[in-house]
Amino acid sequence: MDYMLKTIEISSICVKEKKFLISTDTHNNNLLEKSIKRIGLLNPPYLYFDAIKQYYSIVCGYRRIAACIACGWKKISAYVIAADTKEPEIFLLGLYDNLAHRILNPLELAHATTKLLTYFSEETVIRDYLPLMGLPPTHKTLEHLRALAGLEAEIQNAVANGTLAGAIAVKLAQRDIADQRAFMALLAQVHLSTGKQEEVFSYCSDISVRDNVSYQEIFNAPPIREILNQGKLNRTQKGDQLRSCLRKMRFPQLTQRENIFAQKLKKLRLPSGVQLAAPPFFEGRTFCLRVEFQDTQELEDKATHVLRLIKNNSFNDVLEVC
Amino acid sequence: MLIHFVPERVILEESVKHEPLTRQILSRCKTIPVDYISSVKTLIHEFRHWKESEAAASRMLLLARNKGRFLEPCPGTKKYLCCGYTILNTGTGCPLQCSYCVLQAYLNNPFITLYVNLEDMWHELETSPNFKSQNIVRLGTGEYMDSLALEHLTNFVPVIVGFLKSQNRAILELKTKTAAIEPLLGLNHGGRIIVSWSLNAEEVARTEEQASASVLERIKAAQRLVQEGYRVGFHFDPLIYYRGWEQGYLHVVELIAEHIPAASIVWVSLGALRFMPTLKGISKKRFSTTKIFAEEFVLGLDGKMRYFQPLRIDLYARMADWLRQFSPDIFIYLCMENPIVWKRSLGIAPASSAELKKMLDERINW
Repeated sequence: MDYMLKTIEISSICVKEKKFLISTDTHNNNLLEKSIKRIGLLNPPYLYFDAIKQYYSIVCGYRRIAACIACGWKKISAYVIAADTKEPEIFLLGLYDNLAHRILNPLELAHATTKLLTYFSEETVIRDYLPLMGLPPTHKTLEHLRALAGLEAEIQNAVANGTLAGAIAVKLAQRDIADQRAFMALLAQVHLSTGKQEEVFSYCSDISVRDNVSYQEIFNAPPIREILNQGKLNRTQKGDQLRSCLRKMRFPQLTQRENIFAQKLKKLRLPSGVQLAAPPFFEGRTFCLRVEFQDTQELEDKATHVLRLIKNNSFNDVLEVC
Repeated sequence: MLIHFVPERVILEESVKHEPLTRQILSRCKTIPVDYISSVKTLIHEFRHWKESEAAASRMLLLARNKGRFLEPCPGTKKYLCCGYTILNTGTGCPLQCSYCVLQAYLNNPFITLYVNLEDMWHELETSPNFKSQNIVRLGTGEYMDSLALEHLTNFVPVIVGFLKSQNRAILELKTKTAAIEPLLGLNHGGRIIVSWSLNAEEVARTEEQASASVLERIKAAQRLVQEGYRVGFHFDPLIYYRGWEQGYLHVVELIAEHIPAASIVWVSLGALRFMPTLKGISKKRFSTTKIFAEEFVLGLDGKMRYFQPLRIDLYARMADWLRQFSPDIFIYLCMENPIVWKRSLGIAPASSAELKKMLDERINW
């Protein structure tokens, strides 16, 4: 591919033309602006002159050009790609440039893939370009990326700004629009880390299937409304309470059993530093007793206390939960 | 319902093209295109890049060499009681397409696969120490496939009956969800074959076992074989919890009572739905309308998802109650359960897997 370094009037560049854009991070340009102001433009962007529309399209360097405009520049040094270069080749130049210096986020990968699919066959994209982007060369991966690229703009933005985990967005894409919007509206009210988003999404989708209800109907349940309407809680606290409430709705019998165990344990009044754990999910009969101590005297005291509880049958009531 | 599985394509491993069973199967699939491959391992690796889904692969028949063992113990875990069944591994994969099928997550080979190197199988059977002792050997071909779904292609049962008859104490349990019993009619089985049906509530069968015979067809097939002198078994496995399950399963017990004399039933097993955690995602992709994974599952001691224990106890206890109302002496056992669940649902608990095996062996009256 041929290209030539030229000085270009910025006004002849169409910054709204996003044909070759891969990056979703087009905001927060402060650092780049400062750098350009201080030491100039180190790496010239790549441009392509569209002979029909009579303007330059940006192939790579969207943020650099935006920063130059913000700095008040009127002219810019740029590599101009030869006019006879085919469009797929031009797009690949931008893709390789991005891949060479940073890790693309899930949404960028999705957009890059859908653009590749306009130039190349599915098989070629899977075989050649998914591995290039560090992804498994499978149809499943391609489907996920397509789903992600097809999400509403608000959800895509949430992925791009890190509010919504990419993995959840892929799953959310399988739901209908009403559920997608309800979930996003919920996320706007609470803070959930990626792991907790996974958990909440999983509860919602199972409850929805089991009870044949929409996400909105789940979120309209009085205990959830109550959490979301609590003015005293911050978003993280709301997120934790929401998670706990949804878990209770998803696993009513298990959570009820956990409560019974907790109540019985409280009644047992174990000495401090002694903890009794039920078998995970009350499956099997293997309990676990943990004793913290600093010396043999403390161990003996705590062991004596526990033995006394065993001898007077206080333990039986707790063990009966399994 | 699938009457007889007809593959869309046959995939043939080069090294088995001259095997007699290969020739027999190909003669029964004359109009079906055949692709030759040099290695199953490569085929499975390449499948990842195919556009066809696992569902499409399960419409293809792979004829291959079993490079491993034909006989293997049931892959039970020490955490739960296992009946000590011996798997006769004649192939893997099933065309019946049940939404809950564990094979979807358990096998890395998505093709319906038949092992055609029968010479190796006979050699292994004849030299196996299992058959040399006085212990009863309960063989089964229904662990990794449906025992009868491909019988119209393999004609396997009459051949294995000959082997079983030459052994002191071996029986073969054929487990199926089909009504494809024609190959068993008129067969001189000498009591060496037990035919078992996996049963479910009719609602579950309709929605989750779409290519299987209906529940009534399965029970009628069992009735026909009882008339032919076979002993039969029933496996309510997986028992699936859903709203209204009580009526659904009670009705199936009533159908059994109506059609099958209790004395012909060698055993009934109960096993609540359990699955490797990865199955949920795999199944939901293939069977988007399934609801069965949204119930109250927890991680079991064997790393599989299971219904929360009180739910399982309820399922088993009620089933046992209905079955015992039909016949107080009916032999019921639980598949892969812990002694607490046994005790609380059936009122008894084998002390170990060995004891459970003995209980089942004793059901084989010679």
